Amino acid sequence: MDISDHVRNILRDVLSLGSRADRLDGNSALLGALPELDSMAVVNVIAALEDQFGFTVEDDEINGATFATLGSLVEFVSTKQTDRVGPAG
Amino acid sequence: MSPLAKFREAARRFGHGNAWLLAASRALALLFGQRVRIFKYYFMAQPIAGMGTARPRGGTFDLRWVRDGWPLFSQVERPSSVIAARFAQGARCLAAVTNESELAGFLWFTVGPYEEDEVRARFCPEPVGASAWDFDVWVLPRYRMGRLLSYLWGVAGAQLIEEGVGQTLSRISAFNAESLASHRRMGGRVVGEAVFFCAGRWQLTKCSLAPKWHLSWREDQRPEIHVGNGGP
Repeated sequence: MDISDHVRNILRDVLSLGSRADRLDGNSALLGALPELDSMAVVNVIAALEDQFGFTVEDDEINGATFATLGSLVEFVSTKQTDRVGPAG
Repeated sequence: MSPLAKFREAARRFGHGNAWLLAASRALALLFGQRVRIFKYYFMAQPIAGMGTARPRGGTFDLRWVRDGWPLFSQVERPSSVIAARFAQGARCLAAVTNESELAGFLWFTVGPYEEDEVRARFCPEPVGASAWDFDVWVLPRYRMGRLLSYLWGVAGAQLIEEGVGQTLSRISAFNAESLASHRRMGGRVVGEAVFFCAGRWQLTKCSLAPKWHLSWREDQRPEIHVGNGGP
């Protein structure tokens, strides 16, 4: 499963999106488009990302831009994973 | 968007009754400006247990109880007279600060009657001593998609539970569908509703809770609405 599918599944489960999650692609807006993604629910999304990808999200690393689209969230997760593994070579 | 399309959208989001009320409120505002206004609130009860994270991690946010005259209040659009009146009626404020200089968010509550400042009303949370009234929960926009709100509720909630307070009550505008949905997702439930028709110094209140109806025309006249565990 690639990162995009994994993140989509996390959103589906945490926000109870059901089949709406299947329609999310990289350009799909999250913030403002998913009423379930509010300022309390976002805490559960962050916790699920930390739990399932094995990294830690600091408070000053996240903001509205992180959750703008599925693509921006996937990019954030990819960067965190790269940081965790460290540079190749 | 045409007026009809706007009405249909409002009816979809708030229900037909509230959409008519919102349309009337806007029409009156056009005719009379701020002198004639309609407010409709739902009263919501929220269990405190499980709300938020009581132990902020990292050092980004410093949460502290603040008092009247705290200098960082100048960073938000709240008149100093309003802040002073809140503290004078026994309200408490938990604030979050970043870098020792930036007000990142706050929440306010009383454990006892709250004198509303948008309309003339005194909201009394019940059961007395076991319920709080929360208001003006605010977070700086760039921190809204993070953990700060959870920290504020977690720390305030831990303090309230220590004092024997198990639920918090608040009034939410009937025209704020997002906030109503958010409260419901956190376990909140509607325990009453009230409509305030304000025309100049006259105010007519229609409420699902006692006193049901109230008419006032002086600053010192206001309905005392006891909000607690009952249904609407």
